Amino acid sequence: MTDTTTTPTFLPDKKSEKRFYNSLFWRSQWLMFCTSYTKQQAVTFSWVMLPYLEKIYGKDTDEFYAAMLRHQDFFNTNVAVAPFVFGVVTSMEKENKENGVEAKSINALKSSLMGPLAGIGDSLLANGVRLIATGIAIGFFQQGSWLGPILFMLLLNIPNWGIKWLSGKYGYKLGNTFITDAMKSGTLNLITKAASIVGLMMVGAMSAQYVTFKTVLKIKSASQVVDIQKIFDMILPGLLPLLLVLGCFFYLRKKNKPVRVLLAVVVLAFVLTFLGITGAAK
Amino acid sequence: MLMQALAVGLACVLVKFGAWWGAMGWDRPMIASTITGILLGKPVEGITVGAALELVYMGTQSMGGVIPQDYGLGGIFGCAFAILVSAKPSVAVALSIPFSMLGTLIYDLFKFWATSLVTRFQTHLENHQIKAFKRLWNIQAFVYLLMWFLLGFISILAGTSAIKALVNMIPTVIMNSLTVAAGMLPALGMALLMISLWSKKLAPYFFIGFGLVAFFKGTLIEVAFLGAAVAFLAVIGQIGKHTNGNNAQPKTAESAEESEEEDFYND
Repeated sequence: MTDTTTTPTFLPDKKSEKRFYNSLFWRSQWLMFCTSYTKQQAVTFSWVMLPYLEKIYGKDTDEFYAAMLRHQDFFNTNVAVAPFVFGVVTSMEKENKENGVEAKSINALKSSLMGPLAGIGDSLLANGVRLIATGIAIGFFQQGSWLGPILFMLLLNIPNWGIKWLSGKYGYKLGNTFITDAMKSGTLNLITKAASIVGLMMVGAMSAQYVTFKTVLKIKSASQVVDIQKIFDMILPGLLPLLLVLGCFFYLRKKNKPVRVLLAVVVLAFVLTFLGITGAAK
Repeated sequence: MLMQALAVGLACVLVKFGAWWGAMGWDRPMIASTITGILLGKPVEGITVGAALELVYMGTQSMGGVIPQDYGLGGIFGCAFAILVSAKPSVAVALSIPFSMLGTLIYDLFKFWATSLVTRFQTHLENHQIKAFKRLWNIQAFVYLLMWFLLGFISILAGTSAIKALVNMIPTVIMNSLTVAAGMLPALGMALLMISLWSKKLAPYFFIGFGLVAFFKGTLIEVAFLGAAVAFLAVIGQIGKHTNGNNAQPKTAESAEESEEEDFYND
């Protein structure tokens, strides 16, 4: 989208461009530090931009400080996709220095990008990738195997760092057109949807695998002992865990705080055990 | 106990660092517990207890820096007490809960302080003092990590013997209740995950995943494999739809693209 004929002052050649992607990758890792109630990641956003703004506008210039102050505005997004914003913003700051883009549009772009990017980053990584990684690794953890932590770190962080690296690079290269196109065409929603589907299937699978809730209650009639749990298993395997998960889910949906649900579950466990309905598995 | 306290303090620093720096997920209870286990010289215990702790906190995750419960600290202290006072996994889970709440309280205090710094950062920039800006940033990062070190160090140094006495006092029926609770609590984790993933149209996928394991004894790896295929099936129709739309309408036709976007939300 730029047709600059003047010699660029920032990242004039391929080599320095590569160095910039490297530097951005490492600096953006710090984004979560110094999160505040009022402006979330704003301070560290400007801290990450600091060396690039220095290069673009020159050290200690008024323009540099104006740019730093501009980036004190509220900012909050997912850390893995944040390099995309840094990339776009750096390319716009460069534009601003060379061709005079309106500075306001940089901030407008930041605030329009952070929401959708946070959504896609959270659904893809926090829900999709993390759940798959947890589901695969947790079995090894239970066996006390080193494969557990190793697998979990690799499965989580290869996509995480891959996205980080690519999003910084493409953010700078593509500028601000790419993400608006992707939003319009619905690609972002499709990715979110696909991640939610895998995530929900994993949640269902883990509900069946890891929620333990069975009764030890046995009813003695005239001549025989009836094992209540066996009856439940005949109706539907995993019926009690499923009901418990759905119960928690609908209780949470009524805007109850997770801590309250946690206490309710603990109290329920105590009451049922004291009544002899549940107990330690034999 | 001094060495153990130092080890847990260091575990707190590592976990909190790896949670934020690069969002590497070191605050997941599985990893936090593994790190604590390694530093206390019992890695295998750390890994095993980590699985029990992860199941309870699986649904809790940090979103935009807001942590409903500090599962990282829960992982550290659950593991530490499992190893130091040889508490059972179910007791370790119960002991981790107060620490996971303490963690959010302490972080809230830190965040208040960080919020008070925001104006100071701005003043430094207004006065053109970039060095002071950088120094203040370094200080807050250091204070953040130091704070967690002190929490781990002091809690273990001062609290372990009290916790040991407490654990030894627990009668059998309460022990059994804790075991039952530890088995039931993952349900809360799952419910929390569902809250963030749920929509009426996607609800069946939860039950498909449940059935694959409950009825057909599938493993989680198998479900992940099928899940990827199913997700692709579910969105493939829509991928075709939007490319067709783009081919038919040139990019300048703003209104056409908008109506297409509406289509997507309506279907």
